[in-house]
Amino acid sequence: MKILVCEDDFMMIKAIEHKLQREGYEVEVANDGRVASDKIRNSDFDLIITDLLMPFTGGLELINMTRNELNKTTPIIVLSKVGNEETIIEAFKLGADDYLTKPFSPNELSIRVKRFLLKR
Amino acid sequence: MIRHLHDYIPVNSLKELHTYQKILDNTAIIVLADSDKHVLYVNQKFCDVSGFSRAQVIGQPIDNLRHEDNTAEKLKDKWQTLESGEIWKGELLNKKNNNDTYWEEAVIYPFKENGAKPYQYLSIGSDISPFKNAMLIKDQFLANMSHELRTPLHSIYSLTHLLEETTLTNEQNNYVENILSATDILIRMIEDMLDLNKIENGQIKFQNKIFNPNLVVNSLSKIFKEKAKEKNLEFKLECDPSMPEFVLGDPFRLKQILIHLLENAVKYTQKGNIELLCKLAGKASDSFFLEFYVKDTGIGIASENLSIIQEKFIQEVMNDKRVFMGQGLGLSIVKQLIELQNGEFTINSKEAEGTQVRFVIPYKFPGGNTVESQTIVDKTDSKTINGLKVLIAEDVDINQLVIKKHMQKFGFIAEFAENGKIALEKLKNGSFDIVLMDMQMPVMDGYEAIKIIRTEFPENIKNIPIISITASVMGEAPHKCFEAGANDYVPKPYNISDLRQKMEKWVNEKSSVNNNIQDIMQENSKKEYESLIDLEYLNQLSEGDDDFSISMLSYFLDNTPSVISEMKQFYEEKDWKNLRNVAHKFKPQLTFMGIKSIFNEVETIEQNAASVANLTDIPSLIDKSEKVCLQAMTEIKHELEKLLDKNQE
Repeated sequence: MKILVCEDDFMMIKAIEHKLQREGYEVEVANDGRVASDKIRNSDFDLIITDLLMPFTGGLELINMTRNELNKTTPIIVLSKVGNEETIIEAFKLGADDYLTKPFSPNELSIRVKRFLLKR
Repeated sequence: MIRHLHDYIPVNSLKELHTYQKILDNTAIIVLADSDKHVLYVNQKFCDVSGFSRAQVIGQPIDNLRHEDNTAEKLKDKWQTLESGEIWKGELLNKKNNNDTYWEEAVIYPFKENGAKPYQYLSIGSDISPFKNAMLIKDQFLANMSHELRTPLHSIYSLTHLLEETTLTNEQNNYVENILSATDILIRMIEDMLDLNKIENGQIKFQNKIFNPNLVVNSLSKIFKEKAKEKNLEFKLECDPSMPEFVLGDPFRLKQILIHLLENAVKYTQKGNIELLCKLAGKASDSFFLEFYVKDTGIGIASENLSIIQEKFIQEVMNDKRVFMGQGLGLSIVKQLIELQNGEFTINSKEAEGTQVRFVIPYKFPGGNTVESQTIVDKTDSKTINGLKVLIAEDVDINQLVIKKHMQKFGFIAEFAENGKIALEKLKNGSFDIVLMDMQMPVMDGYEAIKIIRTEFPENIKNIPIISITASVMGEAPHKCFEAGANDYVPKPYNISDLRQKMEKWVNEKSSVNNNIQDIMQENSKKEYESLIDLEYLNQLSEGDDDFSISMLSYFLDNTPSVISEMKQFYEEKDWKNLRNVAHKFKPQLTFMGIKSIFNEVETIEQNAASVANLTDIPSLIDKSEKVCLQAMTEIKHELEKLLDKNQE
C-alpha cells in the first residue's frame, strides 16, 4: 500500500510519515505542489493525503488535476486547519474524499486511512 | 652633482660618465642628502617612481619622503648607523606625490672625513613594491588556506578519535591508528608552514610571562618518556638544581622548541637513548641564561645538509626538497625561534652516531612581581567538574556533533548556538558555567559577541569564562581573541585534553573568585517550576519510538531561532505576506511541542499580517513569543538530553 503525503512542513511530514509507517504503509513525500503533481502524474498511489497551502501548486489545484485532468480515482484526504470550512467544501466539490484537521489525532488518521484502503 | 664636474674632466670621460648616469638612472633610485639630512639631488628614476618633481623635493628633509608607517625606531636606527659612519641597508616605505606609497630597498652610504659627522649621504635603491605586494598576497593566501585546511582537518581528526572509541576489529583499529598518525603529521606540517610564514614576515610575537622552566621541561619529559619507551629507547632528563624557579619570557615558544627537537630525536633514533639536559649557564645584570641540550644516538644528519640548516635562509631551506622532507623545516624554525629571542643555537651531528643540539636563551629576571600566571601548569591533579554547563557557539554541524560527544564524555552539559547573536540570547536566558566560542560565525562573529558579553551584560554573567576556538592562527588572531575579552583560546583542530584542561582551569578560577554559581543555578531551577511545554501529543504520536521524538525535538530546537528572526526581519521589512506565512507555519510546530502559552500570540501575528491591520501590536507579540520559545527550548533540551541518555545506555 503506497501513500503520497503532500505537505511542506517538516514536523507535520515527520508525524504523518511516522504514524503511517508504523501502520505498515509505504509512504512517499512531496514537499511542494510541483513535486506532488509530478508524482501523481507519473505513478499510481493507493491514497493521497494533501495539505491545502503549499508552495507552487496548492491542494485544490492538485485535486482538480488528479480528478479532472488525469481522471484518476485515487482517494484523496485533505489536511486542513480548523475553521476553514469554505475551502473544505471547495475541496469536496473538486473531488476530495475526506478531510482531517490539523493538528490531527494519530488514531483518527489511522482509522480514516484504513477505511479507504479497505474499500479498495 | 655630475654637472659640477664639467670643468675638470675631458670630454670623452664626460661622455662615459653620461652613459653611466643613464644606466644608473634606468635602474636605481638615487637620492643625495646633505649633512642636515636635506635633499640635495634626486635622479630621474626617483622622479618617475615617486611622481615628485626635483623642485618639489630638493631642500626638503629627507625623512619627509618616508611614509609615516616606517616606525620612528627604524628611522632613528638608520641615522644612528649612518652617523657612526656605517653603511645602512634596509627596506623603506616611501611617499608618492599622489599620496600613494612604494617600497624601496635601499643602501645608504655616508660620506665622511676624519671622524667628523658625515657631510653627505647617498642612497641607492630600487622599487620593490611589486615584490612586496606579491608577498602580501602570499600571506593572505596562506592565512586563508590555513583556515580552509584546518576546518576539515579538525573534523577528520576529531571524528577519527570518536571512531577509535567505538568497538573496532583489530584490522579497523589498525587503520584508524594510521589515519590518526597521518593526520597528526599533516597538522604539524600546517603549523610549521604557518610558523615559517610568521617568522619570515617578522610577525611572530613573544610573550612576556612569568613561568617556571622546570615545569615546562618536566611536563614534556613525561610525554617523551612514553614515546621513547614505545620505541625501546631510554629517555634521560637532567634538570640541574641551578635552574631558576621563575623567569620572564615565552613559555609557549620554549615548549615549541623542545617539542620540535625531542620529536626529531625520537623519530630519527632506532636504538640507544635520548637526553634532555638543562642548566643555568650564566647570569647577566637582568637576565638568566638557560642552557638546554637535546642529544640522541640516532641516524644523524649528513654534513652538507647540516650546513644548509645552519646557514641558509628559510626560503632556501624550503626550496631544498631533501631538507624539507627530512627534519630541516623543524630545525630551521627552532633556530629562528631561538635567535629571535636573542638566543644561540648550535648543532653537532655525525651520520650514524647521533645529533646534539644545544641552545641558550636569555630570560629576564621575573623582578619583584608576584607570580601572576603560568600558561603551562601540570593540571593532572585538578579536580574534575561534573555537570558543567557549557554554551557552545559553533555554526558547523559536524563540529557541533563532535564537541557534543566530547562534552558528554566529560560529563558536561552542552548547549549550542549557531551564531554569536543566538549565543548572546541563550546566555542571557540560561545559566552557564563557561562559554566556548568559535570566532568565525555567520550573523555575528565571536569577537563581537565576546565584546558585548564583557561590556553590556549584567554583573553575574559578564565575567563568565570564555574560551575562543579559532581556525585562523595567523598573525593577530589569538591576540584579537584576548583583546576581545576571551580568557583563553584553543586553535582548531584542538587537542581534546588541552581543551578540557583549559575549561577546568577557568571554571576553577572563576569558582574560587565567585562561589555563587550553585546559588544561581538553584534560583533558576526555582523559576522553571512552571513548565511551558507539554509533550503529551508528541508522546501519543511517537508510540514509544524515541528516535521519532528525538528528531521532532531537535527540529524544533534547530528551526525556532530562525523562525523568530525571520518574523522580526519580515516585520521590519514590512513584508506582511511572508510574515503571515512564517507565523502560519509555526503554529503546528508549537502544537507538537505543546507550547500553548503563545499559541494565540502567533495566531494574532498571522491574522494581523494577513489583514494588514493592528501592525503596531506585532513587535510585542514577537517579543513575547521569543521569550517563551527560548525558555521552552531550554526545557525541550532537557527532554532531548533525557532521551539521548536513555538511548545511549
